Amino acid sequence: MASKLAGSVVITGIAEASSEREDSLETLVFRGARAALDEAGLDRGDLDGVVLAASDQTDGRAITSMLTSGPAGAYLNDEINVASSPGHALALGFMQILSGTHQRLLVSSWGKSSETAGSVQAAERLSADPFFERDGGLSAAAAAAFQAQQRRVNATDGALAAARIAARNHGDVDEAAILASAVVASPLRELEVPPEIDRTFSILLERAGRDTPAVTLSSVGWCSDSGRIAERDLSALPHLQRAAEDAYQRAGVQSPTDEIGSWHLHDYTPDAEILAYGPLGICAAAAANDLALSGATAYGGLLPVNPDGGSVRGEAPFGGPMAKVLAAVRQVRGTATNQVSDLDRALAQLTTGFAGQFQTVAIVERQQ
Amino acid sequence: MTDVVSPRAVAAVGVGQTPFGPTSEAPTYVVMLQQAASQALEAANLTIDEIDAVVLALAPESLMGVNHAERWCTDYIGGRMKPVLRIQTGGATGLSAVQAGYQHVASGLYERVLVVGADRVRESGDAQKIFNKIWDPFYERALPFTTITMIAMSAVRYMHNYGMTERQMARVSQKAHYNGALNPNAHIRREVTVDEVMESRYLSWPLKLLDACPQSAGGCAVVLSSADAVKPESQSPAWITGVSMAGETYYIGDRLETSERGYDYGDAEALAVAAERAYAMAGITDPRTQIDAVETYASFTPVEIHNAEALGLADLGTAAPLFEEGFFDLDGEIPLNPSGGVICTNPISVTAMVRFVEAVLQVQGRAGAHQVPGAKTVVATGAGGSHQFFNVAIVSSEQPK
Repeated sequence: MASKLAGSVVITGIAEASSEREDSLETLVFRGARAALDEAGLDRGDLDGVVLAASDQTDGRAITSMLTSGPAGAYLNDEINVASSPGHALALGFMQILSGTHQRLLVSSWGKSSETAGSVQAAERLSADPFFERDGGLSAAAAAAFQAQQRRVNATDGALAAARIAARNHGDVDEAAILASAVVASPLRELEVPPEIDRTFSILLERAGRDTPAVTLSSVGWCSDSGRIAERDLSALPHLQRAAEDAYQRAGVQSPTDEIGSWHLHDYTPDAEILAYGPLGICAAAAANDLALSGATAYGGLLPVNPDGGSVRGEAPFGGPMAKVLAAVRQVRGTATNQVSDLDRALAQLTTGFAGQFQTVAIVERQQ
Repeated sequence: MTDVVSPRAVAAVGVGQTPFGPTSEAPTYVVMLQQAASQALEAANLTIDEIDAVVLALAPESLMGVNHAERWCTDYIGGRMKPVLRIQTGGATGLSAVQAGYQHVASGLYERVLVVGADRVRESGDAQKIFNKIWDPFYERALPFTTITMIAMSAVRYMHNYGMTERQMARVSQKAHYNGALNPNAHIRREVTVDEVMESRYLSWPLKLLDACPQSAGGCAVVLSSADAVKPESQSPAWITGVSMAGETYYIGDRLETSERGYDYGDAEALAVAAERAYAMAGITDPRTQIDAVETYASFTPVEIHNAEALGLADLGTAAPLFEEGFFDLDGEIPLNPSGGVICTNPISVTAMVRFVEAVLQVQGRAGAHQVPGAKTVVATGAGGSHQFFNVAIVSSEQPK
């Protein structure tokens, strides 16, 4: 089934930038935006819009987009802040190009933990239901640990499978070292959870048609689950399945494992990655643990997942999930570290909220 | 060659707003969300199961004390197992959320979208203490800047440039309160005289208490639909024919020089930019003859004066006398804020959405005692940040071709 959307939206520039110790948040955001514009051969004046994914408490500000919209290129230009998820910002940018109101816009996200008042986990804890869950110490790390525990108790060698995924991503650390590393939030170990890094990500979206190298953003799908994690089965991600179904339908993907060459999945924990296999159609949900143990998801395997090593070496708070889109684009361009051969299409999963409450799936492909 | 694509037609087919009032008398945040959403769904003759996606309008979360409250609220707005996203552009949030909802439908991805929000502005204490935190911590926060002193500085600049008087500002307040008294949902519902405004206490010269907006609580919601998905039994569609947003610089010190357009900090240049784009999209070439009414986000009286100019309803520096002459009164040439506007109601997360909802009510002919007779094209605007983010929507009774 060919999609009516295919080919409409293209990505002509991507960039990520790290923060030096003395950099301000403005400098970090500017550096990423400027680099994406440079890669696309464009200037700020060529944009007709900017879509931000900005988290106030993570940035330690009441309205952080006030500070960051200008460095992202929005001075006297169209600007909107999608504060729930970088995946949602990508989705809105996608819709703005599809609708025809915009021809060319920049999507920008970031995370700079040094700006956060207190700590990122303390800010995350303020996201919890103030009456029932906040006093329980719920945080992103705690929710991820609950989810990992729920998955592992229902799987044979669940901890080993998680360690195998983490070892695959590290590349230079074996499973024994991972299983011997310190527990950070039981059952999660230090070498399974990424440290916080400061980074910004920018993606330049355009309406197809300009004579310039581009990758097609063929679809975005997104869906939400309950905010009450006590009411969720954290080892099932039905909303991810819904997001994936929407993305596949919009991209005209009928057989995901045959048509997608590289999978860039949320991996704040290895358990989150394994839990995504079923809803994304990589394998049956009941077979996910075995797939992780089999090694088939390694670079060079039949179903390469996070061939660039994923996020295990560091993830920027809040804005970090956008890294998955950049990794997918690099694969389709053929410029990735650990490039997968004969690849036309790649999938990125962007996840936000406690134990993945908000799920976004984006599919990029070689321009036809 | 890049293809030119026209957006799919999008209509508001149901709107809802709770009666606005002080936070001390308001229900809980989620109850206000549900009340507004239920009203809008009922007006559209739809159930939540018939909604494809949800957009939450939630401005500074510091005002309610829950970080990323969209996570917490998803269940209460029918968002579980639906696409949900949250918009935050400060005071402009409510209209930005409508614009995001518009994109859901205009893109062709979704048929029906619920846009909803609420606010309890004093939930976390004095909003001005929180708003002080929006400024640069080194140069501007310590002045001290609040949203009151920010606009006071702008007003002083406008007075210097164009000779605006405090009495002219008071006339704007008198008009707003007259209109607000006719609006059953307004927070402040009493008429005031120009002399009463002049005698009210100073907040920050030249702004007085009755030049300023209240801190309100309440909810607001809109159901947006494609033309094909409009149910016959729903409210008559109000079509969105233009949308745009534009942002100013962050640092107010950078806005003090006169721009190429002739604007400075006393004006609202980014609103003019957003209006030009929205007008172009809607085919409006002469706003003074093609617009029947305006609901503009003006939290203080001098803002309404410079907004009228930025929207092209008067030349730069000429609007204040027009307010005195009644040009913008409910029975004037172009009624400005027939609902009473922000001077009478300011639930921050949805203040700009209320502007849109009031524009919808006007083109539907359902605005009641503050109806502008025969209104067919009405403009709604929002403003957020340090008078930094401005957005514009054009609402019409006629479906765009």
